Amino acid sequence: MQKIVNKQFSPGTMFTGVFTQQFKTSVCSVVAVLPMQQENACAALLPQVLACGTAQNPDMQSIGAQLDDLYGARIVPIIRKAGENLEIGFIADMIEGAYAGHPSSILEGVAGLISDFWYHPHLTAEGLLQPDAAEREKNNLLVRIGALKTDTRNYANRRLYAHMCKDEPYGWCEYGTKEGTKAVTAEALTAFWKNVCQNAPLQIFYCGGASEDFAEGLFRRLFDKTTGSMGYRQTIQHPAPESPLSVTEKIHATQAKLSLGFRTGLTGLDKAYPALMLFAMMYGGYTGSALFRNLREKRSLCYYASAFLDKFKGIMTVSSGIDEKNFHAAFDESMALLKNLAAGGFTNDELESARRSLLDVLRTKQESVLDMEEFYQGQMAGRLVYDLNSLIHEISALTRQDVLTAAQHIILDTLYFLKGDKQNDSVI
Amino acid sequence: MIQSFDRVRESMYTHTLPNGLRIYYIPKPGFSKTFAMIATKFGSIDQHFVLEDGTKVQVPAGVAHFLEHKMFEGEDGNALQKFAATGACPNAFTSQDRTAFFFSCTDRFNENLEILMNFMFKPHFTAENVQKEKGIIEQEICMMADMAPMQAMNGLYKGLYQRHPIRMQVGGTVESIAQITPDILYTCYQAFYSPSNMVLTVCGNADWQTICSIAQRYSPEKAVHIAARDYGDSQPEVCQHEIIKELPVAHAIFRIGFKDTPLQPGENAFQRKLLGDLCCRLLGGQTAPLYTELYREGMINRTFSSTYGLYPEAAHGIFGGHSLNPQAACARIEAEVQRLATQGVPPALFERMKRASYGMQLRVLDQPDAVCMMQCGAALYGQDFMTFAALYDKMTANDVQQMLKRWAQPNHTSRFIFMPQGAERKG
Repeated sequence: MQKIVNKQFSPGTMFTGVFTQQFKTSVCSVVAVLPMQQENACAALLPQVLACGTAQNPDMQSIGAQLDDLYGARIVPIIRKAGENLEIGFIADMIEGAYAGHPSSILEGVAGLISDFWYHPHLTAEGLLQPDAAEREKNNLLVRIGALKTDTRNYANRRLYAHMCKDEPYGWCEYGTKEGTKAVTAEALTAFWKNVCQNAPLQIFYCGGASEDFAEGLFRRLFDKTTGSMGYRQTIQHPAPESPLSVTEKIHATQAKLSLGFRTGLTGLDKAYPALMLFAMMYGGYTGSALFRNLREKRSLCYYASAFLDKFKGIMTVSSGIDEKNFHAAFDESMALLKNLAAGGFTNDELESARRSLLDVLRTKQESVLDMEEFYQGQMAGRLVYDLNSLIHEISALTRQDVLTAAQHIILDTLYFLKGDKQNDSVI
Repeated sequence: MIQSFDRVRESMYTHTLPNGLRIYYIPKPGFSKTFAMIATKFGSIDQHFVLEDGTKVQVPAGVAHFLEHKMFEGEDGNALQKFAATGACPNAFTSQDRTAFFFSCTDRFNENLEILMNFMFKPHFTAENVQKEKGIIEQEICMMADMAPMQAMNGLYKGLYQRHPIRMQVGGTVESIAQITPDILYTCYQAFYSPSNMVLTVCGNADWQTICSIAQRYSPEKAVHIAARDYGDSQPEVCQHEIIKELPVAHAIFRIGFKDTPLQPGENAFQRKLLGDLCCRLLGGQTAPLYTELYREGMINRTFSSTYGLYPEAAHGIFGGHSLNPQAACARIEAEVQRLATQGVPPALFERMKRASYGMQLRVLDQPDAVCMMQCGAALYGQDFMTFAALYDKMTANDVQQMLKRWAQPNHTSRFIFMPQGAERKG
C-alpha cells in the first residue's frame, strides 16, 4: 500500500512523497532544475564539488565515516537531462531506521548531510568553494567527457541527438565541453552555486516508511529556501525535416552502431502519450517486439535492437549494434517494420502481449524505490501530473485505434551511423 | 521446510526433489512482482571435464554461453516469445561458474514457471539453429570487444592466472564459437543441466506447493553427475606482474588484482565471499581512507570500484577505474594491502565498515531479482544468502588481516592497464 503525496512547499520547491511500509530501503533525492545551456560545465561540476566537504565535515573521510555509521547510506551527486532542462543534485539510499534500532535517525542524518552539501559546503575564509576541490573535479569531468566515447552504444545515441537537435538544448551535452570545463574558476562556480540555491526550482522526492508529517516537516525545514525564479524551460517541438538527415561518423570500435531518431510531437503532457508508449513497446520494447523478433531472431543482424521514448521531448529512438556490412539491411528492415505496424500490421494478440509487458514494467517500477525516484523526479521536472497508478489505468484502457492514431505521428528525422573502424583513430 | 531469518524479518521455504533439484521460495507479501531464477553450476571455466562413465571432454571456449542462447529454442517454438505472450520479462546470463535463466512477472506466474521449466529440460539443437545463433553471438562478442572496462578485466585475468580457464572471456571468440556443433551442445547439456547440479529460486508472490509441483513435473526423474572438473594445475603465483596495452581512449583504465588462496574443501563459500567483499570495502570502498586519499590527490575518480571474485580454483580481490596516473595508483593500493596485512585494521574502522556492509546486503532484500540472484549463487555452493547477518556477527578484524596477508604475499599481484595511445608511462 503506497500513499503518494504531491505538495508545493513554496513557489520554488516541490515535493513528492511515496509513503509505504513495504521496503527495507528508503530513498530521497534533492535536485535543482536548470535550463540546459550550450555550456553546462558549472552545472556538471557543482554537485561533485559540493560533495567534497561541508562546514561540519570538511573532507570526504569524515563524510564517509558518517555514512558508514548510518549503515552504509549512500549519497551520490547526479546530473540528469529532463528534456531541455537539467536536474542536478543528490540522490541517497539508506536502510529503514527500524532495521537499525534507531527509528528516525538514519533519514534525518542523510537528509541533514544533503542539506549541508547544498547550503553549508566547505568554503574558504573568503567564502569561495574550495579551489583545490574545484580543480580536482574539473579534471574528473574532463575524464568523464573523454570517456563518453568508450561506451559506444550510448555514444551513438548522443551523436544522434547532437545532430538531430543541434539547435535545441536537448542536443547539447549535459557535461558541457572540455574547453568550458577548463575555463571554470572557483569564483565562477561559487557565484553559480549561490544563484542555484537562491533561484533554481528545487524538487524533493522521498520514498520510505517515515510518517508524512515527519518527512514533510524535515524536508521543508532543510530545503525550502529558493525563490524558484529561474523557472523551467519549455520543451521545444521541432518538426522533422522534409528529407531525413543522414550522418555517418567513425570511431575505433569493432561493432557499428545504427541509431534512428524519430519526431512524434507527443510528450507526456499529451493525452495520446500512453498510446505512443504502447506502440513503441510493440515496435521495439521487449523480446516479443517486431525489432527483436525480426532483426535479431529471424535475420541474426544484431545482438540488440530496441526502441525507446523520451517523455519530455517526444523523440523515439531506435538503437542497434550491427556489422557494418548489414547497414542497409538493418535500416530497411527497421523502417519496413515500422511502416507495417503503423498501417495496422499487428494482431490483437501482439497488441495484448505488448500491453501485458508494458504493464509489467510499470508495476515493477512501483516496487523499486530507485525506479520510483527517477520516475517521480522526471514527472516534477516535466510538470506531468499523472502517477504510475493512473498511467497503468490509461494503458489498460487503450484501444487498437488509439495506438494506430498515435503511430501516425512518428516521422524519421535523423539516421545516424557510427562505423567501427579499428584501423583509424576517431575522427570526432 | 521453512527457515526464519528474524534479524532481517524474512523467511524462506526450502525443499530438495528426489532428483536433487534444490528449490527455494522467499515470500514477499504485498509485492505484485514475482521473480524466478533457475541456475546451473556450469560456466565459461568448465571447458574440461570428465563424465560419469569416465569419458574426458574438452570443449571450445564460449560453449556455456552459446548453450544459454540455444536453450530458449524448443521444438515447439522460442520460449522468449511464449514469455512475451504472457507479459513476463525473461532473460539469462552466463558467468565464469554458472548459467542462469529467469523471468519476472506481475501476473500468470504459474504459467510462466511452466514455460521456464519446460524449456530447461527439453533441449533442441539443430545444425540450422546453431548456425543462425553464431551470427547473433558474433555481434555480441564484437559489442563486448568495444567495452574497454570489460576488456581490462579480461586482460587482468590473463595476468593473474597462468592456466586457469578464467583467462578466456565468457563468450569465447568468433573463432572458438565457429567450432561449436549440436553434438557439443548436447554433451554439455546432458552433463551439466542435471537437476542435481541446479537450483531454482522464486521470490515474490506465489504458492509454495505449486512451485514444487511444477518443478517436479518438468524436471527429469534421474540426475547425472559430473565425475570431475579440470581447471588446470593451480599456481599460487601470478602469470604476469603487469600488462600494458595501448588503446585510443582519452584516459587510462586500470585494474589491479590480488590473488587469494582458492576455496578449501569444506569452507563456506558465501562466508569467504562476504569477507572478501569486506576487505575490498576496507581497502578501496568509497568511504575507505585510501579511497578518499587517492581521490583527493586526483589519482582516481568515482569510476573506481572493487570486487572479490570467487570461483572454483580461483579467488582474487580486484580494484580499478580511470586514472591519470594508473601505475602510481596501483603502487599505493599495493602499499595499503601490505600495511593493513602487517598492522591490522583499526577496530573502529572495521566495525563501521562491517555495519555498512550489513546495510548494503539488507537493501538487496527489497529486490526480488537480486534476492534470487544471491540465493542461487549461495546455494550452488551449498549455502543460503540470508545467513549474511549471522556471518557478519562472527567476522573479526583478524579474519580481514589474515585474508590481506594472503593477498600481500610476493608474486600475488597483477596489474592491467589500458594507456591512451602515445601517453607517457609514469611510475
